[in-house]
Order: sequence, then C-alpha cells, then structure tokens
Amino acid sequence: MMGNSEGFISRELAVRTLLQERGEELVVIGLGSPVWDCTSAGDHPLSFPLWGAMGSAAMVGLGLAIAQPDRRVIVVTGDGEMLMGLGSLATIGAQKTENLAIAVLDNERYGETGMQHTHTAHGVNLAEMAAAAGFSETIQARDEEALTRAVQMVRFGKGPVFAALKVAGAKSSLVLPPRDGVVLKTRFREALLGPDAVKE
Amino acid sequence: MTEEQALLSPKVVVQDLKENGVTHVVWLPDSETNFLYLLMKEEPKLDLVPVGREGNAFSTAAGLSVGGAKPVILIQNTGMMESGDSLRGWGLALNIPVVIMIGYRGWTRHGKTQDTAAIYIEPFLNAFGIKYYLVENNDDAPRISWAFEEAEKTKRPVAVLIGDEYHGFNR
Repeated sequence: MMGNSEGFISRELAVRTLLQERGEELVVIGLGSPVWDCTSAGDHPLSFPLWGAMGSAAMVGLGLAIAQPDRRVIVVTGDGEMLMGLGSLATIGAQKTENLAIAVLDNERYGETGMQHTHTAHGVNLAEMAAAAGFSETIQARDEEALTRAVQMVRFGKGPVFAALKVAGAKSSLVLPPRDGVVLKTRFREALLGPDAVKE
Repeated sequence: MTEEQALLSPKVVVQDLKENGVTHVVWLPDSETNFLYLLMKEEPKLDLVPVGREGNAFSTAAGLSVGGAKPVILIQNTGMMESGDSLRGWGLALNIPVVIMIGYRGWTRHGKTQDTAAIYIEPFLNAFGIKYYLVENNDDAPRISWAFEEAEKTKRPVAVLIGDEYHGFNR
C-alpha cells in the first residue's frame, strides 16, 4: 500500500514495518508525532519516548548506545526534530557507533505546529547529509521496496546507519504514552537495567 | 594569592572524577579547562565523548545516564548558557544526577570583569535553580565530591565552576 502522495510511504505502514518485528532493541523516540506513531504501533518498556528539548533525540540515542554497546539502539524521530540537531550527525559520524541506527519519519512538515514545510520540503536530503558525516550506510526510502531495505538496515546494519523514510504528510493519531519524562525514564531503566537500578 | 598558590592541579580533578565513579566525560573544547582535557585524554578509566555544541552534551549525558553509565559534562560558561533548553529538557525534566564542570571564563578573584560570560553565568544557574560550587585551587577540590553527592541526593544537575585565573582567557 502506498501513501496518499506519489513518492511517499504511508506513515502508519512505515512505523509498523519498522517496529513490528522488534525484539530487544532499545528504541528512543523523538518528541512530537513520532511519539504518537510509535505508541500507536505498540507501547513497549524498552521504548523511551522523549518529552525533552527538541533536536536531541539522536544524541540521547548516542549516549545510550555508548553506555550499552552490546544492545541495538534505534532512534525514531521526525525531520523537524532532526533538522534542529544536525550537528549530532557529525558527532555520531565521528564516534562511529556501530550499534546505533537513526530512522527519520520525513513528512517534510512540522506536524505539531500547523504542518508548515521543513527544509526537507525544499530539497534538503537528510540521508545524504548523514552519509557526508560518515555514517556507514544511509538510505532515503520513498516506496515499499526501499522501506523494506531501510528497515533491514536499521535493525541489522553495522552502524551508525541512517534512514530517511519519506512519509505522507498526514497528521498522526494522538496515541500518547505517559507525559511524565521521569516515569518513562524509570520504566525504561527498570526494563533495561533491572529493578535495583531504579531504587532511590 | 600568588599564581602558584592559586593553581588547580588537573591531577587532583581527575582523581576526584575517578573516585566518584565517573565513566564518561562529555565535553567541548574550552579555553578555561583545556589543561584538564589533556590529562583526561590520557586517563584510561575515563572515556571522552566530544560533542559539536554544548546543548548536545546534556542529551548525550542523559542517554549515558539512562543506560547505566556515569557521565560528567565539561564545558565553558558560554556553552552553559547556550544549553538552556537542553538543561531544562534533559537534565531537569528527566532528573539526571549529572555534575557539570564549567570553565568560568572571565572570572577574577577581585570580582571585576567586563566579560559577559562571567557576568551572566551565576544568575543563569540561579534562574534554573542549579546549585553550584566554585573551585579555584587544590584546597577547593573536595567541593567536586560535594557536587557529586548533591547530584545523587537531589537527582538533579549540579555545577562546579572552575574559576582559574591562570589558564585560558583569564590569563
């Protein structure tokens, strides 16, 4: 099933394909629409939805990937959020973190503020920027076949890898996780590190 | 106080970090604390994580902390002010018990400075309710451990201002 615009994938299909066969991967989710999308696809204690400062999801993922080198870390975020933290691509490229993957749901819009165009609507190619920063593999996916390759790369490719999933610009359904960042952090840490890690 | 008396030995600082269980130093090059960086780079028990802007230091440290590591942030006061929303979103909103070591550019013992980086840093920290300790020399070094204890006890970021008159821009 293709999205409602030529050259774009259904947003719901992209997220479902990305997460449907997840195992023990640690999933960091950038604030805004990706949080609703990923929660709608199925909440999970090893998902870490973020409510913090915009433009930092990739760096939270980097820190987590460094702290947990034996675990796969997948960052799912939006194009607006990624554009606000482009310098993180350079830092991750320089770190060459092999267990880190970034998947951007790129609808070329700021979804939470009125669907205004982001820079990717004007030709900015995030995958090419990641490649230039030194990511080991990158892809820009605009159809179902490319989506399948992108998801394989995100789940199993030697990192750092970067996938820009060009998704149709529809607004996401508002399926919310708890809105308290500390609650989400504690849930995530308990699932990752065990109950002793969250004792006060 | 003479220059010799005023010096803060980087070895003392690094020893404090090790004794407090620090695993990673998230940092951006800083004229005030480069002398610390040079020693940390040689210390096998500390992994350095360089970032491209100081705001990214807070999100990276949050990820490290959530993943079970114990980071410290090493930046300059200019970068601390650049990091306002990151401090809010990652340090405070997630209760991250991280110590921020801040090179105090423009700091002088006599208190007079024209450097706005120095003029605004303490009001900035006070505005966010961040407790801070001033460390000028080796005699002040125990304050670094106090900062770590405070961070763990309160589950909040705590700052250490490195007020060294004899390094970096302060020379």
